[in-house]
Amino acid sequence: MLKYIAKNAAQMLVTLLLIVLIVFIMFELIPGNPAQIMSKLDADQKTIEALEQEFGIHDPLPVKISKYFTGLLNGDMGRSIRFGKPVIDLIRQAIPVTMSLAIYSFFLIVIISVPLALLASVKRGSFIDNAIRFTTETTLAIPPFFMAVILMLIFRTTQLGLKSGQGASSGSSVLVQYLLPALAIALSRVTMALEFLRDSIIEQKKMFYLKTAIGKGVTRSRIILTHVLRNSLVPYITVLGLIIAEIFGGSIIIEQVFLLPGLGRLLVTAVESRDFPLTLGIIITIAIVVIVVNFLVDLINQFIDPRLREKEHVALRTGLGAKLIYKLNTIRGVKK
Amino acid sequence: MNKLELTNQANPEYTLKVEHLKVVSTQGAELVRDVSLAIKPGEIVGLVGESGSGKSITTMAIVGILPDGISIAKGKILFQGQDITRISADERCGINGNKLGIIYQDASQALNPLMRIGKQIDEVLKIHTDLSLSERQDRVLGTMRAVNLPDVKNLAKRYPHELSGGQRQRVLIAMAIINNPQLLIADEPTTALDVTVTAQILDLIKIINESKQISVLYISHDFSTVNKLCDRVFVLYAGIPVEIGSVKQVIENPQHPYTELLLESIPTKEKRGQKLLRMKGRTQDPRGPALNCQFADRCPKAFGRCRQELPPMYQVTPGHTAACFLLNNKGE
Ligand SMILES: Nc1ncnc2c1ncn2[C@@H]1O[C@H](COP(=O)(O)OP(=O)(O)OP(=O)(O)O)[C@@H](O)[C@H]1O
Ligand SMILES: [Mg+2]
Repeated sequence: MLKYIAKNAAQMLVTLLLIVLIVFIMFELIPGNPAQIMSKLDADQKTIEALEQEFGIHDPLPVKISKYFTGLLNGDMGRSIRFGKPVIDLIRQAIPVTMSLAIYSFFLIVIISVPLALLASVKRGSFIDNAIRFTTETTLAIPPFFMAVILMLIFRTTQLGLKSGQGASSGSSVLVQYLLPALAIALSRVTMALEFLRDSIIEQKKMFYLKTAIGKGVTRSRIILTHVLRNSLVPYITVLGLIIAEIFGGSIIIEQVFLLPGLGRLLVTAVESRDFPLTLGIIITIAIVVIVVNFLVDLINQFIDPRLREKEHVALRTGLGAKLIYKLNTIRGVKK
Repeated sequence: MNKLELTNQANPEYTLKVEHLKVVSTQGAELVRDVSLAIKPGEIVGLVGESGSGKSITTMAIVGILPDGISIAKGKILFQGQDITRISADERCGINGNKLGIIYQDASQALNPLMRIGKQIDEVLKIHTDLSLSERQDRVLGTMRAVNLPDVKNLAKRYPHELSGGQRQRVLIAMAIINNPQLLIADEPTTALDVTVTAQILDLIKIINESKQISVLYISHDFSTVNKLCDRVFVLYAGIPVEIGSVKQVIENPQHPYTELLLESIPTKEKRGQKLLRMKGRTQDPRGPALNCQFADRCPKAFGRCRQELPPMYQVTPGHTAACFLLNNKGE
């Protein structure tokens, strides 16, 4: 187990290095001198040179990168050009917001998708199944920001006492504050989770081992809960991992609409102001989250399906990967 | 009729009695046409027929696991005197795994791949008994030993893919017998296994039958295993039994040409070196109503009447019957 984690940690580090490299090169290609931008146009040559010195603008790329990594190892991501503060501090402030949003919407997605997927697959082809599919496919077609606006209108008019649009500054509890943005995110992504789980359950229900369970006298509800649902989880957890990673890196619009000071908004500001250290810092943070989530998904899936622990069964995983891509494409196709 | 059923219930002469069972699909195909069979307590009965003859559908009807779109159209299945064709789901759960154990053809598909072996066997006890956890554990390990599984403590913690085919089949057997059922149904339990393991599994079934007086319905397409194991045999063709008798009667004096063909395709010592006779043609599929002898088209001895009428069962000797018009001619 420890060996496994160590091996994966090395792999994750390499991935991270590659990402940093790519972002560095991309920023090299973008024209403009950050020192100039930062110091405004009226700055004299001396100030600009001092800033250039600080940011190592004229260093060759390998030197820049190695400097950056040395900093990174000491928890230093440089200083933000736009805010003049250490990047790490800015990110530290933003992370709790995005993290709460991601976790909150994650739970909403699970709470909505598990019972609905069970219902839809058990009553497959029935009115309920079709109604669920129709509703979720409709919510998929609505863009998240529009969903957010609709939700705000609904909740405002029904006077639920929710202060939407006021972000984290309002006094109410986190649970209430984040309800609308999390719901907006959850509703726009729940379809994918639901369809994966539904299909997986339907597939498991065809499996022959269920006949053994019936032969043993296991009741229907027990079969669904202890055999079918558990065995359907691997593709579901994989897609949940994708979703949570996507929420982390992609809730920019929702954060804008609800004025939440999270990573997404910070990233927009950073890119707009050509704030290279901040942009890089945020991208690295998101990359770390994605890598860690993927690792956890792998770990959980291996816990659920012991066959995934073995090398010979790699085919199972690649099979799952292919299925995932196929399914994502079909769902995206529906969206168009 | 009612009275008869009542007496049956009190002291059933047969563990299982299937009467004129007919199983159809929604498309109208007759998968099992008219199967009657009876198994006495402690008896091992074989059901033989080639692929597609309806053996598995018959067992599924008995166990109540017919696939969607396939249902019992006619007939009764009396288990210990009680008709189980139309019982509730709860009653079914009380019978399966408790009084009725089943072993399937393909053990690699029949076990839940994500559940530990011990837990899968234990599930039967969990459902049907009030035993405590440690009592259940003891019994699980004891039954695993009884079916000759090695290193049971360790094995109980393993997953199905970590076992050999023979071990998986033994696990299925352990699961089926752990509650001391009255009837064990084994649907081709050895098809996926090699010769040595097959012999071991057959021995095991025999031992279970003798030591616990469990009746067995043994399904196979292969007369040689039936010969080793069974007391009586039913030969099934296209959903209809064509010959019934003790294994000795049927093997030594086969009356139906289909039985003869089946017997000829067993490799034996005497026939070594000869070319194996391969059966011509296949069971027709899907099937309409049976209006004539279903085997007529493939039968080397068929004559006019075979293609016009469905032959009834003729008695050969007491306890030995066959559905072939040749027997009628002999009688005349
Ligand atoms: N799930 C199903 N849906 C529709 N038809 C089926 C199904 N299962 C079996 N059949 C049909 O029922 C008939 C009898 O099949 P059955 O499985 O009972 O054969 P079998 O005697 O067990 O053969 P084998 O030796 O191959 O196991 C066949 O014609 C088959 O095509
Ligand atoms: Mg079969």
